[in-house]
Amino acid sequence: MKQKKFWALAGILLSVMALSACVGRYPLTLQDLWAIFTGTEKGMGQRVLLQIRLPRTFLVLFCGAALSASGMIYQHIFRNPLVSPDVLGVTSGASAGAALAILFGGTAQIIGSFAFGGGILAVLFTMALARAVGGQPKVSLLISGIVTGAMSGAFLMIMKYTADPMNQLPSIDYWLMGSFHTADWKDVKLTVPAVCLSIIILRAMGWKLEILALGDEEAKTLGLSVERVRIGATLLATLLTAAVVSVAGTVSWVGLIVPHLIRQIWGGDLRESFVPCILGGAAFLLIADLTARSLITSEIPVSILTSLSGAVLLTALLIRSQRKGGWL
Amino acid sequence: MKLEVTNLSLSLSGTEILDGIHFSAENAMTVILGENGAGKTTLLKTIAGLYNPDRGGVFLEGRNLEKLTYRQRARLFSYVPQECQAAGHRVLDFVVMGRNPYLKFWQMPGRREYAAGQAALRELGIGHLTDRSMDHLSGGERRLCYLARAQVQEADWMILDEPESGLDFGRRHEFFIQLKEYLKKNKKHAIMSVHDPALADTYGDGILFMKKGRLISFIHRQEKDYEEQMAESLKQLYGPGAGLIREGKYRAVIWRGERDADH
Repeated sequence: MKQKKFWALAGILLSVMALSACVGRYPLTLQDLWAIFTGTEKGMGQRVLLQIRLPRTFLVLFCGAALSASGMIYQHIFRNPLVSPDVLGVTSGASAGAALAILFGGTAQIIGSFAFGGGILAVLFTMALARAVGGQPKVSLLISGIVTGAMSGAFLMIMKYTADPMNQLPSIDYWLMGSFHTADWKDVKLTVPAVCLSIIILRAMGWKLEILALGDEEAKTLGLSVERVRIGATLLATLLTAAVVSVAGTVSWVGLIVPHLIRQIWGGDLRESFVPCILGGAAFLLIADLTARSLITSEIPVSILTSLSGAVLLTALLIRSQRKGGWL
Repeated sequence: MKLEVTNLSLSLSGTEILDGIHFSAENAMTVILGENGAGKTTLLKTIAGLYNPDRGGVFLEGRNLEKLTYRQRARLFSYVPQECQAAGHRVLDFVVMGRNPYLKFWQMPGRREYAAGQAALRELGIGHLTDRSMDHLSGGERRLCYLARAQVQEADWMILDEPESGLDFGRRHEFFIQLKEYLKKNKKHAIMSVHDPALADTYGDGILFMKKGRLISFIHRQEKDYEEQMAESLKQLYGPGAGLIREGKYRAVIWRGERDADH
């Protein structure tokens, strides 16, 4: 049964990828794609596909996968279904870091490392704050995330205030809203290795993370070095989010909603739901990006769509599980 | 494997929980009796290595355990918590987690580990649960899964925190009989807290009595005046109402209340 669902999901992803390669201002058909790949068609179509569509499709694919994987890992290690890169303040921390790099005119690599640095600082701050606050761990983590988000937001505003309003400010602003319209192979090359590496390591850590899900005390008595595993997984999940933020800005909600949808079908075991989550996140973001660039003639920021659909989906899930009785 | 606890004291957030606990045990089954809040759980968790004592220490065969890593410690002690609340896993996957201290960091459990898990489940008579989810088990089944996990862990000492809670009368005794059989067969030891003095009397080889973070007595079944000591300690712990009576070959823990005459 789960096998079937897995292939269904893979099928959806493949067809969305094909669609994403075809749809646009310069439409291509599947025959065109075939002709380009076999080398019989060289010209406008080939250039559109190779230089615009494919890099964008791959970038969106990997970003979607990265965000949902990172969300699932965060939810897992904090044993809290309500956290996501956004909620923990990672996204805003990474944005603040990236904006700082933009302000000083950094290269893509520098923007990327600043985003990672900002994200790491944010998540460590959130964890430390939650520990200092004490009390109900699920609640204090959420509150600490809100605090971190607000502080990074303030920092971001300071930078926007000092930014040159003619050039820097609009570029920070547009980038913050999240978009893939500037995607090229350079971005893909920058993002994909970090994303693949993190996902492979996290996948290999799957069993340890399952033990961690039993709670700290039990995990310790089973001989797990709890702190090491948690910090390692947090760093990797943050790297995933930062990799997305540095090329595409803030793409919100993907990291919260996709893990929830996947768990509804594949259950809570990380080893079973992690790969579907990656595929699902890729498909979700591809659909959102496809809609963002084909809904109206000019492109709209993809975050508008992910936020909107994410909010609606979460509400639907909440209502459904309240009726079924409990979920949080 | 001799377990020694020497002058153990521990405060948690300013309150002294354990005060100079000192004993050494090498029985198969050591049982701790004590009122609520006497520090039983804290003592067990300290032995398991979850708390660091302020003074004193825990020794196994003369070896101080404080310096050990969690991994090393998990080969010596397994732990069954009071709340068996694991959820989301398949029963067999859950039980196999007990093999973790023997696997390298990147190593996943393989055929051997799963076979050990299945054998433990079969031995406890819950082989039919193997592929079920932990979410849909009764309290008793869940506790047996924890016991299976602890057995798979093959530690020398098993630490159990109120293993009888949530089990009905018959299941309690089944649980203790199964545990005792396992300990005897594999030459392992267990230390546990229990609330029912009758269970302690029936299954414990040694009984520790705790009150307000202190040890008031440690009595052993094979001692000649066991019954007198037991009766005395029960009175000390629970008040003059508690006692022990004997009728022929049976012995029972009783409570003499106001309405004693009616019963």
